Amino acid sequence: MKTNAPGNFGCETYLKSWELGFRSGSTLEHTLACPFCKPLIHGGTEDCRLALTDEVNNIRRNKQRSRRKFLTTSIMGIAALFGTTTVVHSFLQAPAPSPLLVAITNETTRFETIYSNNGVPGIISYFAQSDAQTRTNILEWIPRKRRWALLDLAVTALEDKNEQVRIKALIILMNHTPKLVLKPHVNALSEIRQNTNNRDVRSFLTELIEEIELS
Amino acid sequence: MISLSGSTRAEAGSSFCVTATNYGSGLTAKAFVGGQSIPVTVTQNAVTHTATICIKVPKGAKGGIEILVADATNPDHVSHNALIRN
Repeated sequence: MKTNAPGNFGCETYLKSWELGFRSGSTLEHTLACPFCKPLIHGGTEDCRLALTDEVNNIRRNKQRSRRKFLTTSIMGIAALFGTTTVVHSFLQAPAPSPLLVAITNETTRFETIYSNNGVPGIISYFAQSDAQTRTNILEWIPRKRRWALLDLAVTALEDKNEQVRIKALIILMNHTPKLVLKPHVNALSEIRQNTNNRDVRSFLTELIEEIELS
Repeated sequence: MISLSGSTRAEAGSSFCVTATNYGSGLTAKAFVGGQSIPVTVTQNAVTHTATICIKVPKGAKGGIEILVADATNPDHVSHNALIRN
């Protein structure tokens, strides 16, 4: 993953400055307002900007929560976005990154490599050849990395032969994908709703389609 | 590799548990309900070498439950997913 933003500011530098801001007791907004951080926000890579936007939105939503809780709930997303446990580890000041964090980071790095080398067809091909657990994990990677170009994969997975994959696809669409991103897929979702024999998939899709149309 | 088993349907306001087998040291679990992280209780049975991972599904929760489990030796995490009925 490209981590160096224009002006020699990289994601790691940004995260370190953010961490310093937290440790010194300032708010995220205060940290972002510092002259050192501004170029990162405005000149950072797309991933940096997306991560930042997310974190700002998160902290605004969770204003009343403690800083520690905020960091813990955000940590997996940050690890996935930056493909490294090093910086995330320093956030938590833990003796070692948890096996779960390492596992998710390793996995997301693998998918990212396939995506970088072979694009959407590469991921689709990997998905088609994978076992059910890996197919489930690939679906999880789509919102984590904001690869909305692969959303067709999640829509198709609603008809997967494995129930866990079908449920994961539904959860990704219902809980992790912005309704605006889903709008172009509403016809495909309606078609699946009409054709499915699964009562649960039908009722959850009905609810989802209503929400998309209202958005 | 870790195996997870459990129901694929859950009720909002009730407990929901899955069973893990074939796991190694350093078992960790996380759970998400409607995309939000929630507390997890992990109970290990040393005799049967199984672990029960439980959560309380909040009232009014919508969408699905995702439980992610890993241990020190497994390279990839394993997940169990369930839909919530209200």
